[in-house]
Amino acid sequence: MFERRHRGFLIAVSVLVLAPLGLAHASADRVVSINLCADQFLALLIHPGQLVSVTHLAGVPEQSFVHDRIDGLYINKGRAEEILALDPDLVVAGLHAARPAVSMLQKLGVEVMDLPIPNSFADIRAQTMLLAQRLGVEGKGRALLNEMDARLAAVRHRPPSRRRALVLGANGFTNGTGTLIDEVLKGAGLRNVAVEDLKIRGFGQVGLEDILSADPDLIVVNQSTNEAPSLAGAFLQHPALARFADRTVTVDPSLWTCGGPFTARMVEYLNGAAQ
Amino acid sequence: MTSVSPVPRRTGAKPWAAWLSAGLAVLLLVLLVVSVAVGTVPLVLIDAVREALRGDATTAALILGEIRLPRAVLAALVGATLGLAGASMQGLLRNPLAEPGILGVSATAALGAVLVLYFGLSQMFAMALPLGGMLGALVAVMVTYGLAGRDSSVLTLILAGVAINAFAGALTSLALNLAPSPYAALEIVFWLLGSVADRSYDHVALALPFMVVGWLMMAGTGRALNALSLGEDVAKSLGINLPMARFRIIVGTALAVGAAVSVTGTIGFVGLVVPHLLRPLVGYEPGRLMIPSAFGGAALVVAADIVTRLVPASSELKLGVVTAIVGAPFFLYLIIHTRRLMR
Repeated sequence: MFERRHRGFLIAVSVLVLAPLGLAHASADRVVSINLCADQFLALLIHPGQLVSVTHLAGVPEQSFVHDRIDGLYINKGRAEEILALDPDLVVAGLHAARPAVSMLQKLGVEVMDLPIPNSFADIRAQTMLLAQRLGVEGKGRALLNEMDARLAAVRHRPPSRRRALVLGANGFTNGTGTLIDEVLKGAGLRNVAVEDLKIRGFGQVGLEDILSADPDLIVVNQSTNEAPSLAGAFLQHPALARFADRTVTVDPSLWTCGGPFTARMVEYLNGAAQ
Repeated sequence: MTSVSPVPRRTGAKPWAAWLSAGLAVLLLVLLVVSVAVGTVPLVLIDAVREALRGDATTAALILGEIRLPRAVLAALVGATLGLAGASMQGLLRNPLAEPGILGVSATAALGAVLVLYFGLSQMFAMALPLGGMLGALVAVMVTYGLAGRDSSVLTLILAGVAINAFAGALTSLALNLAPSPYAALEIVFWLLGSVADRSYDHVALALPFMVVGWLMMAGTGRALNALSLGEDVAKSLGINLPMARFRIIVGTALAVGAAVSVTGTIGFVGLVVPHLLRPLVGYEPGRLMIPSAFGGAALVVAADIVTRLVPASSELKLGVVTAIVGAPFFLYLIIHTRRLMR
């Protein structure tokens, strides 16, 4: 069942999708994605053939969960003219990205479906089913969600011993209330230090002194190990954080970038790491 | 010095000039204590010091020892470098407006450091960072003195500084835009305005050896600068080895300022303001001005770093913001006062 706040989300998505169409769905034999998160949903839901093109980021292992499933697809850079040349039935975009290209495509009569950023597992369920319905693959969508829910349920019976976790990214950015990562931590049986001790809403920044005085049991690093050098990235190398070295875990970065049915794997991983 | 010292002492020299350094050192110490007492987490300083000295890895001891102390120490070291470099450059160029920031030395040092850091060289070997900064600094110092050799007009130097600053700033921005890291472009603020926030002993260790060598090279030129203040011919007739003094200040400035900027970004106006405020107190002797300027520069940057943490803003102020708010009006005031020289 969807809770109330998610029903609003569902309606918003429905309106975005259905408004230009009336109620009847056009066919979706040629689907193009111009957003990394849409790439991942589509690669999981439909097969090459129906999926014509994905973004250049979809093939980057550090960013994309589906990097090994996109062989033979046309790689686009999200520009309106190259998308148009692909003659798509449906273009799936991110709600907050590539807006000029989206409005151009819409003006030219192409159906564009916008994916908002999911902030909870309920959002992921809603998004998966909406896409699956539009693409005519409800069964596949349901199967993906069943697998996700099974993974989440299995973890629920294994409470971890290390309870207080803090997510840390470049420049000390962390995830507070209302974010998918907060739900991931809860799902893994962890308590989010950013919420409980540091009172962070949404995305926020924490300083070194705050981290030391909050003294989390587990630090979850949101940064890939082979990232290009920057001062922001060097934040996590500060010697004051050395004491956390034996309780720091790094999550596969391809799971961070977008929320999707695969986010359940992050919950599994964190639950395992905190045992 | 024995009585045969060839360099004349000016009669206006204050006998208590040495006390000035001592007084500034005490001020610096007080500011360092204040600096480690200020931060986001409230600490009982005495307890934290006791725990840190005992070697306990308590949270308070770590915050004091690993976060606040290296930051304060680095601020002091960089401030001393900028103060000393300002005093040396003003003495050598006999120009009250000379300073690493205004002449573009800091800006080219930042460019050198940026090129080394963001394109992976400093990941391969850490020393590349200060080396990049020093190489960058050397370019600007050479250009400056090259110009000063032929035409020592104040205006020429300042305008050359404007050009070097603009060029180095643009190239720094370009390098950051081309850098592979998605964060690089946002970090232009650090390189243009400077900060010691979240710096560690690693940064102190990288920069300190070069800063010390630079200080020693500059500090030994006091007598030459005193003689030079009477004119180049007089200095030569007094047996001063001017090319040697010039070399020591050029290389010393490049080493110290280059290393400092490579770990803190550019912090402007320190080398301008401090020697100026102290000059009357040392009887206008460039040689005597150097050590007090080092202590004064250190005190100014530590104080500015305290201010960056006291202003309630969503993110900390940058150091260069504070020093420019103090320094830029001062610079204007100096320009008005030295207008006669500029013609």
